[in-house]
Amino acid sequence: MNYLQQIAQLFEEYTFAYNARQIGPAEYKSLLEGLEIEKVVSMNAAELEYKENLNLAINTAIKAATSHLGTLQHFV
Amino acid sequence: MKTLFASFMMLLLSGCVLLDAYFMAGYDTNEYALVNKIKTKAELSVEDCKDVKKSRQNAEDLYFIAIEMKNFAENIPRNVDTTKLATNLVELTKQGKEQYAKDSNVSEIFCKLKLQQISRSAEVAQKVIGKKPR
Repeated sequence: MNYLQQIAQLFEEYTFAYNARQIGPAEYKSLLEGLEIEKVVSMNAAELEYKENLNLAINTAIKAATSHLGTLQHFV
Repeated sequence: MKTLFASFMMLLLSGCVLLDAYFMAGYDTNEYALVNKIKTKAELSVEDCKDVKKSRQNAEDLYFIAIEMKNFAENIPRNVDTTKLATNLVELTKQGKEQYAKDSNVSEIFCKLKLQQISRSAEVAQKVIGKKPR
């Protein structure tokens, strides 16, 4: 289940609790605002993960290039 | 001319992303410990949800730790993404704290659901913070 599906499911859960009067209007509003933040957290985390993967790829490429250079210098 | 300009802009932008990724702040044990503390505190606080007084204190404690994490992360160079995550956690914990501040009878179910939101978000943040370059 991706995070958007999870958020949709949570929205239903909160609405059910509100309609069943298990939570008040202010509590319901707070939970919905929290859902909005959860969505942003997932987006920000995905952005950071993308940079981490890019960082790993760059460093791997640099290491490979450095070792290649070292091999070339050995022959010169 | 337009194609040339567009190509130049694309090169410039991808270069910025690469530089941003290459120089990103590395893994920090304190940062990881703080986000782990938020997650653990949120998980354990569920047990206190029947007691409004204890839950109010738990909400304030969670807000304090989230602020502590944001303050720690925001002055580390090239750490914008972790600062964004910490700011999100501050907002989330602030919502819980504010509910207890304005309502003396916060429901047990709200307490549990809000703590679950905090715990889930802290876990998402923890996973990516733990993968930062060593």
